[in-house]
Amino acid sequence: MAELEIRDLEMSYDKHHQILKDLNLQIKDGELVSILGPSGCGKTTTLRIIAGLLQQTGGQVLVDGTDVSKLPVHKRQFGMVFQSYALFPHLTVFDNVAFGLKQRKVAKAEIAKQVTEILTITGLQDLAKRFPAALSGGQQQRVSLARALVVNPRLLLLDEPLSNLDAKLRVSMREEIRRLQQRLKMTAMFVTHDQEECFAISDRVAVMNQGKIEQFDTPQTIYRAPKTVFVARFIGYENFLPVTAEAGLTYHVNGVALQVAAAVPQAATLTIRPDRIALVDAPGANTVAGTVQSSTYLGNAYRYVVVTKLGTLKVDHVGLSRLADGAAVQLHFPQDALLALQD
Amino acid sequence: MLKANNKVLLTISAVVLFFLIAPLVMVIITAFGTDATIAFPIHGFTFQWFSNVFAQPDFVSGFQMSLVVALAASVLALVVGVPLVYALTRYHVHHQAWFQTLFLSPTFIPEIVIGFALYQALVITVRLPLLATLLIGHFLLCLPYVVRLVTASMVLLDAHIEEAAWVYGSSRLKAFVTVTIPNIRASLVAAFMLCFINSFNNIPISLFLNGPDLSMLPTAILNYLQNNYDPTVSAISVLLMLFTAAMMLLVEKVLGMKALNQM
Repeated sequence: MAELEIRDLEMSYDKHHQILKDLNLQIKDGELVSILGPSGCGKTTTLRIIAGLLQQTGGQVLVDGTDVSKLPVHKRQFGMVFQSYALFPHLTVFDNVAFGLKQRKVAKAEIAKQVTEILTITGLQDLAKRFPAALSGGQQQRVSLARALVVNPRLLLLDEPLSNLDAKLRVSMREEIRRLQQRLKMTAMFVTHDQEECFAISDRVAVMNQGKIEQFDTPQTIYRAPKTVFVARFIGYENFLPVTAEAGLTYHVNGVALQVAAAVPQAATLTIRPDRIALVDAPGANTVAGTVQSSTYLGNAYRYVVVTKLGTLKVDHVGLSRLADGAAVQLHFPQDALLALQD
Repeated sequence: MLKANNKVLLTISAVVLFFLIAPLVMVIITAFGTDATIAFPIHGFTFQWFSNVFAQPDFVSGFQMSLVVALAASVLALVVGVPLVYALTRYHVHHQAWFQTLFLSPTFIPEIVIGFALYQALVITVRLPLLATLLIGHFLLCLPYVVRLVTASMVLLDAHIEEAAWVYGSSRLKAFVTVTIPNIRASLVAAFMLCFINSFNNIPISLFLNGPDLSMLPTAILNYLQNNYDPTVSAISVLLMLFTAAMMLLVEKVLGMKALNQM
């Protein structure tokens, strides 16, 4: 168990393509931090640099304050769970899990004891003699996890470990990863492109875009107060209004005055989730008139596309009856649901 | 529909098998004939041609030489070819396809041209010993088999598996030996067998690179056949067939049918 610090990390494959720029990140002892971002944002590159599978072109990776940048991958004593599981096809489940301990020259009896223990914790005790090819995807990922946990790694790295599993298994597996990580008090880094998955599992989340961390906060803070348009868009904010003028808590968008709960200096954009826009009967403060352009049934709500003076907005409304296209509506933006963003 | 297709398939298979096997069966039968020249059908039954095989010093020394050269060339092709393929499939190499083609190129050049070129360049010009040149020739013959077979299995093997071995404490070399090799074992054995058989049976290259003390079995057989047309040649053919069959059986026993199909 250890603390991880990434300092001014830079990575480029050639002069024109910089994958990572001045990346800084700190993970506390026993903390699970996720890197969340779209594919190609550099999150896997970051993880592979930390693991030692890639050599960065600048900056440092520190574990407990010691720079491990020059330490070869096999001496870093980390554990890693791969998206493709990457089990050793020629070894049984038992030997797959025992692999790391054997490399560390642990005594045979001790290996047997520790492997059996971790197989029991991960519910694999009956599969010990099987080969990976005879396991389901979920079981393989469990073996991969057991293989990582048994070496008591200084750092547990998880590279999109759930994306090859079906939806149901993904939920139970992420709960299991979280449970084991907390029980064994491991410092862990989890890379994913799935917002829900990472909010469910993480102590803190770093949202990454084009090689930069846009926001590093708890899931709650990121959900309630995204700092940039990219972060907001990535976690489900769908309405973005360009600010034309500002005065204290009041922002003007196309001549409409809107009040927010928290002001941000030089805010350029206001945003609100579709489900936080309310349909009201009468005009008033933070309210704008609009016309329903189209609607979609979402199951738990209707999704309306509404044309207003502010632009075309998406509104989710839980109601028994569906509004007809062309219906006139009043949209209300609760002050605390309307967020100001700097870019 | 399916039945008709099966019939066509069956007929074609039977015809192909017949043309493949019938000549071999004839050779086997002629090996036991008592006539002084190869004749079919045979008159009388004898093992004398088999004992004559072992009475020919050219055959015995040729067999030994072919065995040594085939073994050495196959091992050399693996020792050079496997790291080469590893580099080409696991590292970012510029002009990768170009290299791949280069190492497969001996297949595209007629073997007789390789033999002549090596003789002219290495034996006549550089004055390299004949045996060394012969070994180089057979190594060139073998390399494409290693490159092709091992590339196929390296591409199929998930690169993350090796990375996992590194993460869990194996150095690159150790991971290659303990994780990569066991998982490409079938292709290594298949490549070795193909190398061995092709080198062992090769005539065009050996023909240019033989000398008074250096004769390979196939060229010895060819020489013998030019002077004597007796069933000794049939007898040695039978022995070679048995030898190859034994090798196949060994592979099948060690690795299973799958490895044979890879060849």
